[in-house]
This record gives sequence, structure tokens and C-alpha cells, in this order.
Amino acid sequence: MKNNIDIILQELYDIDPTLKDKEKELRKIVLTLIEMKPDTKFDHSFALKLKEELSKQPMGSSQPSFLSFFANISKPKVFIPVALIVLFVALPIVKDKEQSFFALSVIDTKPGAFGTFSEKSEATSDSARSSLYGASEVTMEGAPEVTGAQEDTSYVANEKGVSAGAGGGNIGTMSMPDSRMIMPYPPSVIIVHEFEYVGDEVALSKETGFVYRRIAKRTDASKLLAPLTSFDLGYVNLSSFSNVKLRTLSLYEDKRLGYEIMANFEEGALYIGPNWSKWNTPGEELKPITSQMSKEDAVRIANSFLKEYKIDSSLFGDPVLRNDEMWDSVMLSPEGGTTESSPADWLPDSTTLVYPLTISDVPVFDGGGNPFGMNIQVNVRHKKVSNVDNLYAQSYERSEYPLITEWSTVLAKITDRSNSSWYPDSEDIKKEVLTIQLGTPEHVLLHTWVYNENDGTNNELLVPALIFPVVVDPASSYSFHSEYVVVPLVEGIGDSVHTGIDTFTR
Amino acid sequence: MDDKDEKKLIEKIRMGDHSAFGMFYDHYVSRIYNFIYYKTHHKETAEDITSQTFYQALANIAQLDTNRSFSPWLYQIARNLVTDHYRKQSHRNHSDIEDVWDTSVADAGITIELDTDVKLTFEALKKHLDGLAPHEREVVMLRVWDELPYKEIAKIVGKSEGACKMSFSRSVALLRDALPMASYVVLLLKL
Repeated sequence: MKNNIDIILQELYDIDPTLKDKEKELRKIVLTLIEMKPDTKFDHSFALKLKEELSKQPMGSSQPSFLSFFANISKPKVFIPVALIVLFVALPIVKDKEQSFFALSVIDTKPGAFGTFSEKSEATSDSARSSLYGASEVTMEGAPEVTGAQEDTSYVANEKGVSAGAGGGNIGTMSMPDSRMIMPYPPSVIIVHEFEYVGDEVALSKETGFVYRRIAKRTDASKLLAPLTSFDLGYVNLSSFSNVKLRTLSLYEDKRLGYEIMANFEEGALYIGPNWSKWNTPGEELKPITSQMSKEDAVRIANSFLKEYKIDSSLFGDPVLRNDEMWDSVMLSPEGGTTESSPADWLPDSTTLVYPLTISDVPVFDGGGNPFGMNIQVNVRHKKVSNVDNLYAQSYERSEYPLITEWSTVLAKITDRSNSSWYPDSEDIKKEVLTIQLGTPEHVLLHTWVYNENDGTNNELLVPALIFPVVVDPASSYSFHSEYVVVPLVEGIGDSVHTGIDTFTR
Repeated sequence: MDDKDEKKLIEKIRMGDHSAFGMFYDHYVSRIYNFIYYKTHHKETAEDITSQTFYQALANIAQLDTNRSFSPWLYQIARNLVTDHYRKQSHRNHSDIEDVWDTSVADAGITIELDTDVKLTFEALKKHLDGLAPHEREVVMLRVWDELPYKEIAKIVGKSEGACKMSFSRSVALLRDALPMASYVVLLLKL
């Protein structure tokens, strides 16, 4: 509690430094406010019961959406003709778009069109440096609302005044983005990462570079919609609704290990997942998993799936195993089998491949140094693709921005990433320094989100960046679970980006 | 839950994925319940409005713009439902009642249900805290009681971080005069 009072007081002093003279009085006020907190009597059984009731409700039930329309159909004799109509009409649409829908589309805009980026630090520079993910927020100032220049491919974010992003707030989690939150009980040993650059000096010759902002690509679904809106289902006449648009389409395969296919026509997004009712049979004895699937097998299965379902993956590079799954390094022996400390029961039943996105031959990475792109999950038990997600139409606006050209500035950013841990100094906590050596970087694009203060939207950006490989494998008893560290080259974007730094205990 | 995860979840929810909505539910249910409780001080009412909040969210999630964040939208639903709750109870249909702190015996016909164990504390404090505007009280509760950072509070109340900080500072200044007696009462009641 004391820590929280101190933080609240410091915030007050930041606003009005003269208040520090009244610390005793203010401390009493804040303490009293804390004492006022009522016992809310939150009842977990209530929460569970409500969740159960909600799970029985159809999504979007207050409106007769296309999605709920399909979800509520139970009579096969109704479903079959409707599904046939849908598929019949949909096929020519899909065929028209087959070669181009997921292809790259870029619209040039004027330099600096997305406004200026700024980091609004909430913490002192020391605490910002010590934070795992940084304590600042990147915002866009003076940026116009997100728009697309093409009529059918534009998206207009015209609802104002609501900010975006869930922020932090998980008390007790390691991904604590704000130093003022209550931290979990500290471990006995924490590892402090320090970065050391051991590569060659790099000439940063480009003074400007393109920042990409993704825009939604709407699909013309009018052909699909037309026969449906004249359809009388018996319990509702769809033709009585006016100006009806098609937002999403949901279909499922009514067979064992069938899929659920969901398309979002406003976003230009496709999601394929398992039709769970046909993947999990209650009471069925599952085959035990004795070894993890090899990458080669996973890639073969995933590629076959893409080919069979004619999903255009030309914009994506060769798949890589997602490396943020702990089992990969912790639970499995080097041979890929089980060990005494990792019984087979712990093995996950799926493995995820990332097909990295490339824009004009430049690979895209996320802030954790992981390749960013289409994700395909392969079910190990059934040796079958279960999910395809993060598959969007790659439509962007791009705008030219000044880049960092001083190598010393880049090195300073790396030094700033050194993590002195956000646990306070204490005799009970032993700190060990782990030096991470970084090699010569390459140019990439960083996928990140930036909040636009003008219209309250979150913007999905690809920003020029340098990616530094971790060249020295740290001591075997520790994990630094990123192979790369990414440093953005656009001023104002930096500390708030997930750096992939993490703290591990043994 | 970071912005990227949230956007993915919203997308899946919009596409009808119940499990994705379940993840949001798990993340927010206690927060929303507490938020409502702070505004009602009545367990059954808070549970009822929490249920309504999530039913409404589920029913309207398809309308949520994926570029917008889930939390401010959800909190706004909860806030509106609390306001509706008190307006429905008031024969005068007061438009200025936003939560239990705005109600008073002068509101003829309104029935204020409070949990018994908080009734005395609430009444003692109400005359001090209801000097604050509803949005100021909200910032105080979220910062002090829920210990949320301003970054998140700003999203919930739909204002900038700076405005939230200023609001909190003003509230503390107002409470400097009002609180000594209140604190005495509270501490006595807690003994």
C-alpha cells in the first residue's frame, strides 16, 4: 500500500511541485481514500454462472446479422438450399479475387502524412529504462483520420473521442507495462540483461524511409447479399430490412475434423479454425502425444493445406516455427522427445508456423523480434491444420519520414534497452547480469500499433527498423527467448515497443 | 492483454468466436463488477448490471470497430446502464443522476438500496465525495481503489492522461478540506 501511496503522491507532485510541501497532509488524504475502498463482494460463482449463460447466447443476437442468421439455423432442409445459394454465388466472387485479394496494394501519400510520433513518458527516464517494455506511450499528433484513397478499399475511422488499447492492469503479471502497478512477489534471483554490440559499424545512408499504415480493404459482397435479402426464412423476412450490408460470413463443415470459415468483408480478413464440435468428442480417449512434430512435417502439412484451399501466400516468406512457445526450449529435450522433467502429458497438441510477411522484399518483424505474418497452427494429434489467422488484405498507405542517420543514436537506443529490472533493490533479491551480444543488423520493417490522438483510433504501422541478431547464446541455464532485438529508425517510436527483453529465474 | 492481442480477439469475436469473447470476459468481469459496485454499493444491483453489460456487449460486439479498444466501449455500456438504473427509479426522471453518489433523499420516490455493511460508511462519506463531479469520482476510484495507471484510466473515461491527472489533482485539493472528518468517521467505522 505504501508503495502505491508514494506513487500517487509523486504523480501529484509532477503536476504541482509545490504540493511536496504538504506531503504529510496529502499522504493522509490518499490513505483515507484507500481506506474508503468498499469490499465489493465479488462472487466468483456469479462470474462463472454468467459466463455459462453468455456462452449459450448467439453472437450479435440483438441484430439479425448474417452471422447470427447462420448460427441459428438448425433445420438441415433450410440450411442446405441457403448454403448452396451462398456457395454458388460466392464462387465467382472468390474466383475474381483469387489472384489479387491478398496481394500487396500501396497508396502513396504526402511525406509525414500520419503526423508526428511522440513518446509520452509517464515515468522518469530511469524507471522507463528499467521497465521491461518501457513506460511510455507512442502517439500520433496532427495525423489525419485513417482513410483510403480508393473508394472500395478505403476505411474511414469516423468515430471520435474514444481511445484505444487495453493497456496494462494485470496485477502480478510479468508483462507489466507500468511501474506504478503492484508487482508480483519477487523471485530469489533475477537476471538483468545488458546489451553489448559486437557487430560492425553500419552506415545509415538513407535519410528518409517509408512508413506504412494498413487500411481496410472492403470486399464488394453485394452479389452475395442480393439473393439473401429477398429470402423469407419463415420466421423473418429478410427483404423487410433496408439498406442491408454484409459484414461477415460464417460457414462450417458439418463433418469430423471440419472447419469453420469466417470472412470479414469490411476488413478483408479471413479466419479458418476448427469446428470444435467436430474435433472434440466428449468421452473420446485421445491419443497420447509422445513427441513434438518436426518442423518439416508441420511445413509440409501447412503447405498442402494452402495449396488445397487455394490461399494465396505469395506475399509471405518461408515458414518459421514460432519461437515464443516455451515448450520449444524448456520442455523438450534437444532430440524433440520427452524428458523426465517433461512428461508427454505436457506436450502441446499443436505447433504454430509463421509465414513471414514481406513488403517490397523487406521482411516484417514484431517488436519482440519475431517474424510477423500469417499464422498456421498444425494439430499434432490429427496431423492436420487447425487454424489460419492473421490473414488480411495487405492494403497500405505509405508516407515518407525522416530516419535516424547517426549510428551513435542507434547504439544509444540499444544501451537504453538494457534492463536493470523493475524489481526494487533488496538484499533478498540476487541480481545477475547476463550480457546479450548483438551482431550486425539488417534493415526490416517493424510491425507496431500507434494511437492516433485526433480520431481515437489505433493505427497498424510498418516502420523502418534495424534488427540485431543475438550472436552469443547466453548461459544454458537462462533463456533470452528472442533471437533478435528490433530498433525502430523513426524518431518517436521506440521505448514503448516490446523489445523481447524478459526476465527469467531459475 | 496488449493492443495486438485485443485487436485479434475482437476480430475473432466479430466472426462469432465465443471462446475469444470468453477471454475478454475473464479479463474484464471483476473489473466491470467492481466499477459498477463503486457506483451502486449494492451487490445484487452490481451483479444485475454486470450481467446486462456483458449481454449488451455480446449482442453488439459485431458493431465494434476493430480500430477501437474494447475496454472503453465496455465501460461505457456499464456506465450507461448504471445511469439508466437510477433514472428508472426516479419518478422525476432526473437526467443528472449518474450513480448512487448523485442520489439523495430529495429525489422523491427513488429507492436507494445499499449493502448493510457499507451503509453507514457510505452515508458518512457521500456528503464529501458527492462534491466531486461523476467523472472526477470515477478517476479517483479507478486510480486509488483499482490502482489503474492513468494510461488505462484515460481509455476508460475517454479523456487524455493529462486531463485525468489534473482531475485527480483537483479532487484531492477539494478533499483536503472535506476529508478530515470523513477519515475520522471511516476509521471509527472500521474499528
